[in-house]
Amino acid sequence: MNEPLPLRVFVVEDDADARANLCDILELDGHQAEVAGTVAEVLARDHWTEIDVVILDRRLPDGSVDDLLSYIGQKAPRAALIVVTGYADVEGAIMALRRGASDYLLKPINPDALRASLNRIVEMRRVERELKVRAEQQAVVAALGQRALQSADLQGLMDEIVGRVAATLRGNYTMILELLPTGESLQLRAGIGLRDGSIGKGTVPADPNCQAGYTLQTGTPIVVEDLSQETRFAVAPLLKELDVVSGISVVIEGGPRGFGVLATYSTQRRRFMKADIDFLQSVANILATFIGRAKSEQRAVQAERLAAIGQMVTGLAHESRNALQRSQACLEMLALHVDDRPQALELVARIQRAQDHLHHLYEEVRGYAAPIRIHRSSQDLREIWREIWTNLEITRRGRTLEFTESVEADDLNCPVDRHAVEQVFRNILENAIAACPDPGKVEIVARDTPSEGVPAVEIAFRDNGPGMSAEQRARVFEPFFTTKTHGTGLGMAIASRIVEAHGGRIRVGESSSRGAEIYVTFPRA
Amino acid sequence: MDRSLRVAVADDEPDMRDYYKAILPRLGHEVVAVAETGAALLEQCRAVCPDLVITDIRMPDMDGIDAAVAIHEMRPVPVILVSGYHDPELIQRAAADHILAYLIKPIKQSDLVPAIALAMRRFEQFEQLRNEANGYRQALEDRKLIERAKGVLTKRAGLDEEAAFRRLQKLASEKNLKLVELARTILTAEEALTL
Repeated sequence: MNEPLPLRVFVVEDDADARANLCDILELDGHQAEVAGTVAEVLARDHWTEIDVVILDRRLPDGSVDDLLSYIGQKAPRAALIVVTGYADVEGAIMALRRGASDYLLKPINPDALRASLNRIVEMRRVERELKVRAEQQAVVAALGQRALQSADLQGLMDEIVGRVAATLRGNYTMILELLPTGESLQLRAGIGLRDGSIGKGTVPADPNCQAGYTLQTGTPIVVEDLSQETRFAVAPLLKELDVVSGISVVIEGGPRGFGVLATYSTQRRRFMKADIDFLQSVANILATFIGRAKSEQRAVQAERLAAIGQMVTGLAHESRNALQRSQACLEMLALHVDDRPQALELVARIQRAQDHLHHLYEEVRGYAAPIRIHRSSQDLREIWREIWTNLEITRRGRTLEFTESVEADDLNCPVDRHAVEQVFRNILENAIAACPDPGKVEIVARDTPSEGVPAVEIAFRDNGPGMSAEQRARVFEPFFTTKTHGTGLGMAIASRIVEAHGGRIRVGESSSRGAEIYVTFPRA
Repeated sequence: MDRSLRVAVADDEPDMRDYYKAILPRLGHEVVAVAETGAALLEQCRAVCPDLVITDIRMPDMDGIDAAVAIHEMRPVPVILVSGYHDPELIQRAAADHILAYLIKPIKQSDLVPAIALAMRRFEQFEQLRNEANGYRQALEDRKLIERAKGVLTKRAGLDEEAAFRRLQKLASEKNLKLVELARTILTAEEALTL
């Protein structure tokens, strides 16, 4: 935007020599000159819109320049007017300035004075354009902000953002990349100028060694003027393929590592202004605010739904107890009636098992749906898992299991609800025992680890079973997801709720080859 | 431990009443009252004086906890609650009175057996403690009377405390009376003389 602009200049001068002289100077400087010699010729002209500058001799043979000034002002409001006048008529020139002329030149025309005057006009034009661009950008930010407030449609907002950003910053490619939950890659969520079908599918690694990852890591806008000269990160093959030369990328805030990256690229070398970077960041901030709001609204709706479901399920489980009790009573009485018939007794026993399972299921669902109340007191986590391991003696009976623990922390005291944490450890250990074939190995490793800046204890539970598939890893904390034939599929979902209620984290380890790994983190305060 | 108990049961579900009637005799107990409301349970307990009460909580008219309180006012008897509910409010009410077990439905025979055994054992321990406490209270009362009789002797016969006590012991043994009975006689006589 700093390059000097060639101007289209309309020269109105009755003296042929002076006219030719002016045209020579202008064309020498790269401008385009058009000419007229009389007022009549000026009035006859049709096309005004492309004229940047009109150089006007004050004395024309067929009329008053003063009238022409307002006429040209109407026809070409964008054009700058330079009045050419003689020494004797300085007052007339001042008059012309009052009537809207931008400048005046004295005859005979000095080429340097003409250049200086044109430069001033060019500079003014540049500032005007710059202002206009900023105003447009402001308008875009305002419009996007408005849209973000009015609509709940994230994809629609992202599509509009890439469209508006591309148009405003004149980028060939504009894209929004979202950091995926694994934290390993960013996925293309919206884009302009990209291949069809890549949106929602294409990913780039969230590696500080590529631009998007680097942007996320530094947390500041990254500006590239010439990608081929870039040294901070490697150039992604995609950008090479697209012949990208210049670009800006900014972080879209949200979550501990950010929601993702908004980037715009150009195939021509560009120098971006600070205002352009600010504009892009403002747009990214609108998106971040929208996402933050949407997430908290979603959480509120979900919490409300869960509360309603919870009440319903709790009521159902309560009522079911009375029905189950009647069934139980009749079953035991039936057993008395048929106690001389082994086959009938076997059937009674089977009904009993089915009923026990149903009862267990109801209680688990109730446990999952009921509101969690945490009563914290300082507890030694190792003591809890040791007690649970001991209590699982019946489950372990007849098995060959090796249990090891290692603690890389001074102490394992955390403010937790002992009963709730017992449930978490029991569910994890039961799964571990069920998963590993004899001779089984169950390992617990505890260590100090700050979690989001807060001192915390992380406990890893490992087994030597078959491990989890990618699908199992992704779904293990979903209610009713189970790989066991007799599980309710609520154990890990409950564990996850309990850990979250403590402000902790529970996650599955990445390794799929060495058995399953569950990591539980409890904050120390 | 496994003595046969006379049991009163209450539940508004006919299935449960039939269940208790079928199962409790199998466990060696006798069902002496079967009620379907709290009021009926109270009424029948007044008549049959059971060794143990097993009752539901939510029933028409009086609930199981209120019935247990009313029964206890007549005579201490162990109570086992069997309910599908365990709201904090119910648990608090149950804890406040003479409830020795609180079972959550659905229960099985295998839940009843230990619950009954434990409830009876606890109840016996409570009764024993109650008797001991009564004994101590009586001993304390007796001690006070003997002290006062000793005081009469020291005053009237000019004896010191030790001599007065020895005389009381000797006299009781000669007259074949309990020390406290002798003390009461002396105090009555003293009362007659000073009037």
